[in-house]
Amino acid sequence: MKTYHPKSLTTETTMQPDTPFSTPTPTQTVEPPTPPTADPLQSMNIAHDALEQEATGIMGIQIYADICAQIIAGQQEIIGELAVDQAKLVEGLSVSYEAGQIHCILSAEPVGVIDKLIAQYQDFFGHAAVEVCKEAVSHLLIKLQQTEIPASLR
Amino acid sequence: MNKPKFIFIYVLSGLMYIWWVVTIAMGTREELTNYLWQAGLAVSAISYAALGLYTSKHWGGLRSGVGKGVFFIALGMLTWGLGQAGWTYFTLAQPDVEVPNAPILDFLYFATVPIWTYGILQLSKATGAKYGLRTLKGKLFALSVFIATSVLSYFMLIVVARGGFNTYFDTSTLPADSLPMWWIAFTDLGYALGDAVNLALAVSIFGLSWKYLGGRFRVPIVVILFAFGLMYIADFFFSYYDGLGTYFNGHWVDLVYLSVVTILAIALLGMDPKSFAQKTVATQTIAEPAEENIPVLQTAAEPVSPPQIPAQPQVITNTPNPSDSTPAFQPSVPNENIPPEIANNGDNNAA
Repeated sequence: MKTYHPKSLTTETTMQPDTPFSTPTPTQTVEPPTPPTADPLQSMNIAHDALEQEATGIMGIQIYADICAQIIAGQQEIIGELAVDQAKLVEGLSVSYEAGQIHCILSAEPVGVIDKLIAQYQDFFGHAAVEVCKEAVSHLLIKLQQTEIPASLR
Repeated sequence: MNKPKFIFIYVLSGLMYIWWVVTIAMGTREELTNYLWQAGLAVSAISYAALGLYTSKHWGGLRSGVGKGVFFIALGMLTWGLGQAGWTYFTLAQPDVEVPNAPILDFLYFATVPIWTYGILQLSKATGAKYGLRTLKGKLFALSVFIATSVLSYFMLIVVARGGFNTYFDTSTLPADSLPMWWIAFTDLGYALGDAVNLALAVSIFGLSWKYLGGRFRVPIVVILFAFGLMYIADFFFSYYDGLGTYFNGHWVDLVYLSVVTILAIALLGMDPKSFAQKTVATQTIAEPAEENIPVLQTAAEPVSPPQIPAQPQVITNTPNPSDSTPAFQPSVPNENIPPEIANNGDNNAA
């Protein structure tokens, strides 16, 4: 079994425009309101800030996708391919497993999806499975604020 | 799905229990029925081991911790069953010898110890025992269990059962055609020590996992650990009665061995995840609405409004294409991945 390597993981996030957690896509035209006598440099700074905010939102989603993939990989060492099978049952999470790498696509609120994913494994071995999940993603949780960490992983 | 297999175990073990009761009630000893009962015990152990090996396949076999645990515990039962089969062969070949004297049997029985030790350790990965070792209390608990088990085993298996450590090296009581003393001492002592190690592991894992282990497979794992404790008791009493010279084929100790293989078989079959998979698959799909028999996790989750899925979802690849000279995010640059109807709507909105 190929070991999951986070650095080689390709994660994709599918953004749903109408979901509460959606952020503007790069393809949507964002026209921040500008005063009639706006300084061109100021306009560029505003556009840059908007792009940065977008990138931060996208990176935030990526971390949650990485967390899902890492949890599945950690559980895979314990319960094998069942880890992927159980993850596929989680609403809002699409999982594909190709060439030993796990790809996660989040289509719902990430924190809720992760809680559901952990609950799926908790059904097998109880709190022991939760500890396995925590151990698997401990290096990713430090990148999140305390309020951004799913309740199951605190 | 596993119901026929459970019925097979209950029927076979039930017949063996009834057979034993009838044999003891009739007071038969050193007769064919006693040796055939031993053969039945071997058949039971080997067939139950086959069921366990098949169950390990559903965990990915040797590709997962639980798979390895189930596999090696079943494999240990297989080697034990083969040892029992060899035991039966030699007792039928030499009916006047109640305890066969063959190195192959010693090897097979002795082999079960490290195989079971490895299986228990692999299974402990799922129980959370290692997390119990993180605290000082957990470490002290594990240490005290090992010390207590060592003292208990020395007393029970060596002093009480064999009359002392020196008897393992006393050649005066050995028959002329006996195996070398070093082999007997190695296998007997090694088996006793291995039994003690497995007991210590079983008790430690049970205690360290107490706060962590739960879920569907809690009961089968606890039963497996209990079975190793029962095996320890069976081995002790066998050594004790064999040391006294009062053991015979069909002794009540053999009934304890039958109980061990039966309990292990039921527990290993209880570890089959396929017996539960059908429930979760039927109740959880992304597209279907919530149903009454959905697992708790869905009802406990925060309600999420059904996403309005567009005709073609917009996929954002976070890893930039090195061949692409344009920057990653440019809202003003039309994205060729946008379907025409959405792009036209965007243009209308911009206008």
